[in-house]
Amino acid sequence: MATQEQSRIAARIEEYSHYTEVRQLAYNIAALQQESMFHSLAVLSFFPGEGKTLACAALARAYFEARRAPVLIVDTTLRESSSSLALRQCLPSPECTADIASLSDWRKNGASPGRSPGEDTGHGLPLATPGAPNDFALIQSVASHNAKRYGLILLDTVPLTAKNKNNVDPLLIARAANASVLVVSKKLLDAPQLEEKLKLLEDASLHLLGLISNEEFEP
Amino acid sequence: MTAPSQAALDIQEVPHLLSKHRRLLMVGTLLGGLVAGMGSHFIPRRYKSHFVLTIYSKYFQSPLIGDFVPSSGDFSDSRALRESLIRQALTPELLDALGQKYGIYVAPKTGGGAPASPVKRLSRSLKHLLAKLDIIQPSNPESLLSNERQNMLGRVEIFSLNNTTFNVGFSYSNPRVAFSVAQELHGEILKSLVDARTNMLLRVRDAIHRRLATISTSASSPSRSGDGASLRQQLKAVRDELRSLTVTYTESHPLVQQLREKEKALARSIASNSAARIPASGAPLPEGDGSSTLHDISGDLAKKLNYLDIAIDSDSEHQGDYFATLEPPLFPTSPSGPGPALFLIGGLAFGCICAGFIAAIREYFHRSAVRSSTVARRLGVPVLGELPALPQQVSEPAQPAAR
Repeated sequence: MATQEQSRIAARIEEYSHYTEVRQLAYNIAALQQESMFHSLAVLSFFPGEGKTLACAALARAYFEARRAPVLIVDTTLRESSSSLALRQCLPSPECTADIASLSDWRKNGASPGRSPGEDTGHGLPLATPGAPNDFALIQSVASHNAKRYGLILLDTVPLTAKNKNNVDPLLIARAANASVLVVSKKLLDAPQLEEKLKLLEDASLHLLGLISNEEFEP
Repeated sequence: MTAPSQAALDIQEVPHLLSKHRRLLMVGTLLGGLVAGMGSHFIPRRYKSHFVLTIYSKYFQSPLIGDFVPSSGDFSDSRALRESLIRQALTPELLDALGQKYGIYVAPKTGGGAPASPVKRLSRSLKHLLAKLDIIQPSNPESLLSNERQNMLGRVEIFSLNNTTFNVGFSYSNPRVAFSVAQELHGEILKSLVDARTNMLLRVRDAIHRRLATISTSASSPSRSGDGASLRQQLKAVRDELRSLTVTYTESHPLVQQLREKEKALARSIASNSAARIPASGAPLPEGDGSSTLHDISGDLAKKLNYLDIAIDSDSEHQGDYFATLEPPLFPTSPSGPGPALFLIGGLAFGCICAGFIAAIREYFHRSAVRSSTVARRLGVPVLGELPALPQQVSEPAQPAAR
């Protein structure tokens, strides 16, 4: 059942990634890469369910289609909400050329299991610095050391308003990455005190490139 | 792309919204206070001079003639009656006289009175123009005068403190004029009250006179219906008329003089005729000149006539028994109505409320108009792309299907 559900979601994501809007998004990201020379991109949002994981999965597929370069998606969430989409559900297919890594696995094991357990670690992600002191250093090392191997490294983060303290601060991840984008849905547009929330993103160290609009999404 | 839904305003957001729009609220409040403060200087001040008058119940009573002169009824009637007596003094002639004398009436084009202010001149020109275009009826002197009278009447305030006591005041922009007009109104109202009571008594007395004359005519014998009797009756009527007139007028009044001449002529005629004794005025007819019933009636009426004469004479000497001025008109030392401080407070409050309303409207439209592009502009970054809606139906995978 879970496998069937996984397949269904994956099929939808695959079709979704072929939509013109998603491909256009991938082109824009690629164009910005040429200008700003970034390799890691943190995907941020304020609220859960705004579409970060969907954006990461769809963008990864579309980016590969556009640039023919592999994409690494790093899942920085340590504790997800029940309503969140799981990355591995979106991209279970072995044909998908997006690798998925998890920050929690790195913390546990010290190295990424890669996409296929037991597979050659050509896609493995050794720690750049053994015994990295903190998550910030860990993410920075991942981003820097895998920059040549992957065309793009996407960092899927927890919501900026997440109450769970065990998760890594998404702003920290954004600072560790080379650039960041914000996924905006109706949840944010209709939220009270929007101005106060947006002030969080005025930090230049976040390297905010732009917004990804997800207004079409009906929760 | 569908329009974003509008977020409802939560009560917990009010402090934040107040902080967010604090500049607008401060500016609006200060502006309201400034406008009100300046306006209070341009609004013409009104000064009011008033007096307090009491009309006692005995004004409406006449012990001597109480059986045929009606007295006041219940309390509600008495208050209305007193107020109507006071208002009766405010005749159009009095209002016109006061308005002209103190320059309260605005000068018409060709008339006298006070010159019109620029605002009134402009208003008049505008009305003239509208009348030319047949939008309004052209004004005529009567309507102008009527307006002036209404304005003048509007400046007079009459309200009751209790059933018998009334506060009568006059408001005007000039304190001296307000005081003078209040004084004149006080005098006119008192005079009107006195005249009203006197006229009432005189009317009753004239009615009794006429009835007595009728009875005298019907009771007189044929032998006396000749010249002598009629002359005596005429003389009696003339003397009665003289008695009533001398209460109000002096001997030099033309009417009194005319009646004196007539009296002398009649007396000469009677004396030259025969020696029938002239009865004293108001005395009953001698017995045997008519039926006993008529005699009784005439005697009773003659008695009442005497009482009325006594009441009229008493009233002319003791007017103060019927009303009293508890508070005479005083010169107003300060303007009536709200002062500049109250205007300022009102203006500040009004400005604050208006600014709050504008802030609420702005917040409402701000929320309803927030889109991704708005957020992007706010952050100074572009919108990189839009994620379309997820398909509901799962289609065949692995075939790139471009839309």
